[in-house]
Amino acid sequence: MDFKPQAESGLQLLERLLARPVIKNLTPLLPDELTSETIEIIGNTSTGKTLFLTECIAKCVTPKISNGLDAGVVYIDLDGQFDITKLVKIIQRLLKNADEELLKSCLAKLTLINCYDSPTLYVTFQRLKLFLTEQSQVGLVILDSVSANYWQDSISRGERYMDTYVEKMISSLKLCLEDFKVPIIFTRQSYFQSKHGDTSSLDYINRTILFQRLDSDYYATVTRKNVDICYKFNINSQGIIEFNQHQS
Amino acid sequence: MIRLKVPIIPNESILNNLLEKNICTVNDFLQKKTSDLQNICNLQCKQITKLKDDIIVECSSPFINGYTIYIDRSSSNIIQTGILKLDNLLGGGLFTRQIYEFCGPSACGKTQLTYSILLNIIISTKEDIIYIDTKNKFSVTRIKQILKKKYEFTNQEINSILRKVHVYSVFDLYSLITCLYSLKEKSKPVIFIDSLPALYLSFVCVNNNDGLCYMNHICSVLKYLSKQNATIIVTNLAIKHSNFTKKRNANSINQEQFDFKPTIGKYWIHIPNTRLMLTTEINREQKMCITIGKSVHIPINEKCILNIDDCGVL
Repeated sequence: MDFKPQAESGLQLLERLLARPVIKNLTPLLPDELTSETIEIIGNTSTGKTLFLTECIAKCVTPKISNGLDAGVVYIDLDGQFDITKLVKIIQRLLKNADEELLKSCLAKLTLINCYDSPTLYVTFQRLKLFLTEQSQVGLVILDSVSANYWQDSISRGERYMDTYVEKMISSLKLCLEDFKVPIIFTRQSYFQSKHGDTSSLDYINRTILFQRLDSDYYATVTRKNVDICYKFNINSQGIIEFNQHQS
Repeated sequence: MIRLKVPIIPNESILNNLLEKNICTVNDFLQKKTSDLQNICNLQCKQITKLKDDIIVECSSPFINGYTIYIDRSSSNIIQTGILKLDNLLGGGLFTRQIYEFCGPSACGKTQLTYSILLNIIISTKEDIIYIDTKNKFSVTRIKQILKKKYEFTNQEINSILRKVHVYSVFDLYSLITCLYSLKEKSKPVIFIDSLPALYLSFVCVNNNDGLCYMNHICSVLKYLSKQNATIIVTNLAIKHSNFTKKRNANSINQEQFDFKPTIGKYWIHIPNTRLMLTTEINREQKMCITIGKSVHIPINEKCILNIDDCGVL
């Protein structure tokens, strides 16, 4: 028998031994296990991107008894669109009548980061590494949205090519998280694409979800390995209601 | 860029060594290998690692627990606009920590609406209001008229209300940035900006994207201010792109109000939390129709109709 010696850092060993929550069945759009995946969400405004993310957070932070994942979430909010009252509403829907104590334990699993410029963001990524080392319950990192500071950066010798800008930011985030096998979900606005770029060919992204709206119907198309599945959904005051697979 | 400075770096001589090696920003420092930094700074490995961790904590954004935000949020109140129908539409009033946008074609009542809201806020909360005026058209006469007709205030009362309105006149994007920075120290302000596109228009049709860069900067400060408990209301002009080639279809009259496009468009749309589209009711000039164009918590396309008269917007 051949034994190959394998070296790993102390951090990797720690990660291997620690039981970090597994993100599985996060939403009907992402039914399987998401270990170390990078998921991109594209859409215009008012197509349900932020609401979808809020639903994902709610699913993560609720306890396993109520069909949740019991996992911590880090939400990096660059756009300032995240609404805590919406999250509370959705958690209450998932848990039915939750008391204050239960709600507290759910919300405590969410860590929110507001960031207003890119240099700070890059340092924050480094801090995320320290944070995840200490917090073994964090199972998901969300970045909303990558394009928030693009124009500000472009004046100070930043990357001008939009696709490369996104790739740079996501890969530096991934670099900080590589030892943790935590999935990353990030959003990008539909206009934010290099003119002649073909987004599906970006190999650092495992899946892409495209959000669209036609009048009051909402559509989400999940692309993975060049296979598209389209879902139709509705939004009401309770949040997102049922995804139905849609033949287009 | 976050420059390396003395409080971050323990002392002047280490700082000079770093600058000599062209390590000027925090990101430069963090990206350098610890072993290289050891030589440059003459520090031990342990000290460098500690320094790096300290810098990371010092220069990154704070990590806030979800429950803390929830507690803060529930204690922070809603500011009522004092216009009943609008309050109902908005789910109680203007939420603090949000950016609102009033967007409509010219002469649809954007400024009138801001006047009425700001007066109602001053009368009910007695708080000071910040009004950033980009067109130098803030009309004291109109405000006096509203106060006299609606509330029948005496001159003295009117003066005490006017004293609470802080009008900043700005004429370009640069002074708007300076102005917004100076507001960072104020706690819980209500800020009106009337109107943003007036400043931005001078950058339209210029080949480079400088205008967007400054807009981005302004948006960052606005987001920062809104997270510091401010409520921000920005007016945006809607314009109609004439399109003669397109044939008009049967429902073109219904479509008419949606033909209007905000002047600062696809970049800015991602900034406000709630966008209210204002339109004049067809053939009824004293009526204003408000439609929700974008929101997290209000269904899109909900609407209400308001009256404009001598007493302001009701």
